[in-house]
Amino acid sequence: MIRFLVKRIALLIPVVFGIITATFLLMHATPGDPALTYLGNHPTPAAIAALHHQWGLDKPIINQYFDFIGGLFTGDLGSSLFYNETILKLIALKLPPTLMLMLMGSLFGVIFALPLAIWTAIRKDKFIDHLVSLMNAVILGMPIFFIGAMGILFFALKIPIFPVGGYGESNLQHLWSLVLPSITIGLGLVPLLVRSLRTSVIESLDSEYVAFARSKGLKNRAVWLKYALRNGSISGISILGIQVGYLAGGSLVIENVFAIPGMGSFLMSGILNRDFPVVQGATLTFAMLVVLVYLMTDVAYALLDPRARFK
Amino acid sequence: MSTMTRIKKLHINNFRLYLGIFILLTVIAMAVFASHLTKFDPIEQDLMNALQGGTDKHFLGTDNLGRDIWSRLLYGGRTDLFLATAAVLAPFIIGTIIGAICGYFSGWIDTFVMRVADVVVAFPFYVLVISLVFILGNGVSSIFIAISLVSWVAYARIVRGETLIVRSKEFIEAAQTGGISNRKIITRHVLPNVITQAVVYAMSDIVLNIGVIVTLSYFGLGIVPPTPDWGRMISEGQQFLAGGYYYLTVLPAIAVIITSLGLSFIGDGLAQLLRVKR
Amino acid sequence: MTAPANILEFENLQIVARIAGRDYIAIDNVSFNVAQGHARGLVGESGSGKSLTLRAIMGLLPSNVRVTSGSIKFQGIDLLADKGKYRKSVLGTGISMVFQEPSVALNPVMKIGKQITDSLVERSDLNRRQARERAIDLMDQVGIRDPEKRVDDFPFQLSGGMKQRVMIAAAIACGPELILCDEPTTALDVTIQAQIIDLFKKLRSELKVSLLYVTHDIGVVAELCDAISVMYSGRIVEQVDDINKVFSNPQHPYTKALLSAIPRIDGPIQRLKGLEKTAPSLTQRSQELAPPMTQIEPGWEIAPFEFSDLNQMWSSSSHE
Repeated sequence: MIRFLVKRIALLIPVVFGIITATFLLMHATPGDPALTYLGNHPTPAAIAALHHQWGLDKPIINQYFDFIGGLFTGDLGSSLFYNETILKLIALKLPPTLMLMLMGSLFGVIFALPLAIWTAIRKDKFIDHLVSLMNAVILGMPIFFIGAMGILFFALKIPIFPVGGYGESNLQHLWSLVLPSITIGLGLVPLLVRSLRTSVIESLDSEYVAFARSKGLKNRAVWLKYALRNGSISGISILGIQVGYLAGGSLVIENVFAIPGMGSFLMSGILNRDFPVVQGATLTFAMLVVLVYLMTDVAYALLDPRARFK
Repeated sequence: MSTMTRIKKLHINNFRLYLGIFILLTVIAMAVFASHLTKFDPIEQDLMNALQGGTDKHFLGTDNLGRDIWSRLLYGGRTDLFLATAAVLAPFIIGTIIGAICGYFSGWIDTFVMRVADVVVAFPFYVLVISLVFILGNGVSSIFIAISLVSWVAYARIVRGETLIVRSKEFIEAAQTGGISNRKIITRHVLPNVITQAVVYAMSDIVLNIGVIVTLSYFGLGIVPPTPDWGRMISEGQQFLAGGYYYLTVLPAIAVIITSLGLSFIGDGLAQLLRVKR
Repeated sequence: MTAPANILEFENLQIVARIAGRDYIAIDNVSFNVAQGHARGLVGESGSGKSLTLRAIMGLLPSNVRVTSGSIKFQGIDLLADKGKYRKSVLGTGISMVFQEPSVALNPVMKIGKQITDSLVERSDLNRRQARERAIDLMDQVGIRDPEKRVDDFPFQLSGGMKQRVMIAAAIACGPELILCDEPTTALDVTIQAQIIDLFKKLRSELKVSLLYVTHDIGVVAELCDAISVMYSGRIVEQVDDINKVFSNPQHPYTKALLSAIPRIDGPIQRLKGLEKTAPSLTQRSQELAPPMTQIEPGWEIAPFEFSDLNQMWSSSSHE
């Protein structure tokens, strides 16, 4: 298992470097001068030069690149142009709500998707199967912010169960205010999760090992849960892993809809304030988060599927 | 057991495909003939008649600036559909070519491109597109570039996978030993065999693009007002939800959903057609 | 009075498959029985319908395949009646089945010990430790060495022969009286095949189980079975309760061809003397109903020779 982990991590190193490089290139090799945005209308050339020097933008680009990487290793991502704070501190502040949101979102997604997937797999091509697939197509077509807005309308305004937005003060309030956003993200996950889980559960149900399980006289319940679902969910795990990009993107949108002070609203505020270091730091963090979840998916997969572990 | 696998149920039901085509054609027709289907200018304000539900004059009502919702839906569809479809073209072409080359030649170029693809997909789609639009500045061309930079990966991966399968087929080997140039083999023999999967994906990619474009304008990025667009209609309507003006938000959302449904049905139908053909 | 009662009785079984909106007769007029404590071999090439026949007993037919007439009685009660309730009650405890491919018939992500005893645990109040002990006993019984160490293995850690033994252990876990075998040795090496055949012999004598043994290898039938039914293209062509009669004096030309191919038939029928083509696939098969069988003597029946599918097969050139 340890060898497996080491191998996985080694495989990720080039990707991580690629991400760092891509983020750097995005921010530095593209048109647009952060100094200009920072200084607003009609800055003096001297002021621009001073800022360039302060940020190291007057150095050759390759030096800037190495400075950037060096900074990353020491945890120095620069400072926000807008808030008087280092990016690292800001990220430490904004990351927990986003992590919680992604975790709860995927949890709700799985809770919604699993029963639907089994149900439609067992009743394949029956009415319920078509109904769920239509419902999936509808959800897939809904912009996620619209789902969120409808959630607010019905479960915060009409029936005031949940707060309209915000994050609250205490931990309990934090958790409570994340429920509706998480359900929204979970709903967004349902179509793709159900579709792929259904396929793998059907594959399982058609398999020889399920036929053998039935021939042993096992009850339907045991066959569905211990054979079809258990085996089907192994591929479900990797689907969820692939969907994590969606999840992170969804949290970006949803945090803004629900006014949750996480990485997503952080990135958006950086964009609206034209705060280059914030955009850079937030983008990088999102990408790293995705890589980390990929790694966790691999580990979870290995834990569930012994064949992957022993390879 | 071989008998069991041979006796596979062939369930051909392409009702979905036709329904999808019907929906999409209707939506496209409404967008194209927008000017014939309404007598109102979608950006013309009429503050005296703001926030009215369905009336004889405005049968879907007016928004907070008194603009006719029906016109805005029609013209907004024009904007969103055109952008979403046009934004598919570049990634489709680039991704397909890259995927075919990677799959056909393998080797270091394949390894390199696929690692680049890994890096691109490590950035959440919305995060990357929104950051890119930020860097490139608001506007339609930024949307194109941002989407193209991200979505070629999916096409490249799909086509690469298909090419790997096709490459091992006999007729390719025959062509290779026959001394036909690689370029000709790829364009004449490989691409026609792998392109269908990419087309199927393109349908869901348009849905994805509509989502992105609508979301961008929801955040006030991308499409610049006053160009009518469904995303901005939803976001502008949202402030009036609490006041009970649901139709401002719900109507454009329904437009988005119906269009996406049509595209999804076509995608599903095509995929099924493909499975049956195999 | 001396003849033992039948544990399994087929009567006029007809199975129909629906392919691309059309119905095709996959199996017709299949009637035979398995006597208590006896073993019947069901022999035929692939596509002859023998596996389908087995799956009909277990209720494991694919969704587009259905039994259209006839009955399958286990201990005198029809398995096809009462929506499979009776069948559910006897699966595992009365009838169990050993599948052809142990590598795909075992759940790849479940420990083998669990797979051997899970249906037993469901029916009894064995706790986890007792179940494990029972699994080790069963593994020992089917000749798996070091069962204590092996019991927590996953299928992919075992060789093909070992996996097949695991499947047999699971099949006998609830003490069935009849075991259906679907070519259980086809996927194995020749030396392992012999060991598995020996294991079945041992189980027959020790547990007094009856067997319905499906195979294309008539040599295995000769070694293991008392009775034989030969199938071709979804029909029985010859069957006899005393296997020696057919070996010494086969009546049907197809049986003769099969016998001339002893000791082994590997794969398709065209290797058989006098037969050129492979059997027609289900959709190309003759849709005529099987004619009634002719009784040569009690317990020995043959089908008329002029069945069209079969006639097409005989190559005119090979007549000496």
